[in-house]
Amino acid sequence: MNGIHPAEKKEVRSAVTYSPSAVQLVLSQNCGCPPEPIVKEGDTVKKYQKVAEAKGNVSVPLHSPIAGTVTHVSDSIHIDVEGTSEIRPKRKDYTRLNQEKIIEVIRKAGVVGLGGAAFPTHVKLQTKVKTYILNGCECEPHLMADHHVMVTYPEEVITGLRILMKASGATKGIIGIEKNKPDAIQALRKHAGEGIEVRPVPTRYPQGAEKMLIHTLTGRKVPCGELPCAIDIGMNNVGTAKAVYDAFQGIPLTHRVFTVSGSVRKPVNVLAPIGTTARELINQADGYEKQPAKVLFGGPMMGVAQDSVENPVTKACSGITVFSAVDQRMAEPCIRCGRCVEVCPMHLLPTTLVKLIRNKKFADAKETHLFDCFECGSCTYVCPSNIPLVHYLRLGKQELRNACQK
Amino acid sequence: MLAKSSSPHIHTGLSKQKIMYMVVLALLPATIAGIYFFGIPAATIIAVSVASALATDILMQKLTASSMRWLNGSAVLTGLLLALILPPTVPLWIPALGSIFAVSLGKYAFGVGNNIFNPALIGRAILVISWPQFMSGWINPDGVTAATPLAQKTSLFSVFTGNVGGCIGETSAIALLAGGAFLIALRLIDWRIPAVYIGSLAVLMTIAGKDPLYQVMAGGLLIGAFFMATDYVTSPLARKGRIIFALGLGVLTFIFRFYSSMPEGVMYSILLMNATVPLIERYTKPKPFGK
Repeated sequence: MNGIHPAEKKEVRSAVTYSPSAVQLVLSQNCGCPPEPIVKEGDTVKKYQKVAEAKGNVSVPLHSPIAGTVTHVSDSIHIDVEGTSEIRPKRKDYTRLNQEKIIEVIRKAGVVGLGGAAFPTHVKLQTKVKTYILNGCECEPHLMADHHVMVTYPEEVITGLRILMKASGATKGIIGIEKNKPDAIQALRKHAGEGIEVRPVPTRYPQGAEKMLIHTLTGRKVPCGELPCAIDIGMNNVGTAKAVYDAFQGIPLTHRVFTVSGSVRKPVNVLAPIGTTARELINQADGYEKQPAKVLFGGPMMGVAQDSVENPVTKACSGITVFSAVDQRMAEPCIRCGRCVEVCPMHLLPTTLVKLIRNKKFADAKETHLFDCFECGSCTYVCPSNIPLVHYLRLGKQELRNACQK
Repeated sequence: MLAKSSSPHIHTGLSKQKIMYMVVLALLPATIAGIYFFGIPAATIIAVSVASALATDILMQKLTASSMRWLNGSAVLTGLLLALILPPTVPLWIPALGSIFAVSLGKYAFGVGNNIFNPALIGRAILVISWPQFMSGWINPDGVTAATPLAQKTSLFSVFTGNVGGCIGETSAIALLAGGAFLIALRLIDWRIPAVYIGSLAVLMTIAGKDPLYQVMAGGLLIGAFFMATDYVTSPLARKGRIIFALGLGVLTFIFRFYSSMPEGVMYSILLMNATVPLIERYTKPKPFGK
């Protein structure tokens, strides 16, 4: 596998639970159609109550993580904490339900992929497969949310995998975990059991990318432009498996683990509700080490830089990475060193693609497999001329998408 | 104010300048060997060549309105490389002019990063064509006029250490191999190019009944294989292309050395293969993962 070996920076040594006094539930926080609010300003809601209804098949409902009063409804639902009333979770036994009913439970709980893409899990399960893989790689530097889930809830993760396997028809389950997490490998192996194999994989980036992990675990390649189900494989993040388990405990997806690290005083894993602001999570890490220059939702390779720490976290966010300094070096002309080509996991020619895009030859870029790029950032990481390759690749994709829509 | 820039947000820290100066460092053994064997004249040729390259580079940066860099590692490298492939007897205006041609015509005329031909070799080619009478003043390290190891056979040990006639930096195999090993160990050059170039030449020479070890260590092959064929801008981007490129180099150098008595086989081989790079790249595009 082509790739890079950035410093792992797995700095978290503790975990805390946090309950904010208010949450902002962004409606458009996952792939597919945003759900529609079914509450209005002034309404009282209970913890776990559904506050937005799914719209169409590729959509999931949104639930409130806290009991309180709705203060604002627009493109996000703002709720202030008030009281402690809670919708009592009702357990369901997945072994007694058929595939459709299992998928419906998962859909109703608002479960989406927690590996970053936030794709509605119930839609993924509609395609039947033979093998189901759980992704426990967490190859991004800094992030340790999946690690926490695997070490703290190994039984739940395994049960979640069994539910996913039953729903998708898979007979074989594999959990891929990077070798730098021996405790997670051990914990999951203890509870694995029949039909499920825990496989350590080499620690490198982007080992946790869907296509890369499938190739490392099974030797098979997902065809260009297709999804893993095209080769009878289903995959989800370990965190998603835990969320699926929770769904069958009657608990909708309202909380998750966020890794707060980087230039903070005490890197920490925070179990918090969706809708908590970045600022509050950073406070859980005892605040900034220095004046922050950049705050990311996600890890340093694919995270999205935020314009404000008042932004709330969503289901798709795995953590917050803080930088106290920003790389100021200017981009220089490409010297055709070929490093980007050497590291690209999809075996593309990043420098050629970027040259085409900069010269507005978008159709040629599409021909040169621009859409096989999943923006892992390996090319930009190694470029000695400091060219913002991923930035241009995104630009090219956006131009082509806009042209398509016209 | 929080910076909102595109991912990724971390970098290896390797810069173009660092790479250039590492290659200059790798050439230090050969430079020192050249000065050791050929004395002060060699040192002054090197100094003049580098100075002229830097001056031309500064002028070119001004003319192309680029951001100014006074000690451009790329210019230092071009100047040094050119000096190392000149005979030690050249008058000082030769390296001065050669560097001017190398930096201006060999590099900036195409736009930085777009030159087709190796700049140092372009400089040398212009010198050889224009002033051939100055470009074959071969001497032994003891100052006596002599033929080069390819024209007149000497011992394997002599070409290994460099105690032979030839260009300033090309004579000492061990110095060049040390530099080459350094570059490969630090992954600054693709080992495939020197390996396939040298390997294919050695194989062809063996088949032709010549001593492969001697052929590899004599003449400009080692400096060409490690320091000029591996030049980023003028060699193919991807693995497969580089192997074909290096094979072409091996075959051409064999043909020039075996069938012709002209020197500079390595120089012409590299320049010719430089020209084929766009063609090689067109037919050796890597297959995307999953195609």
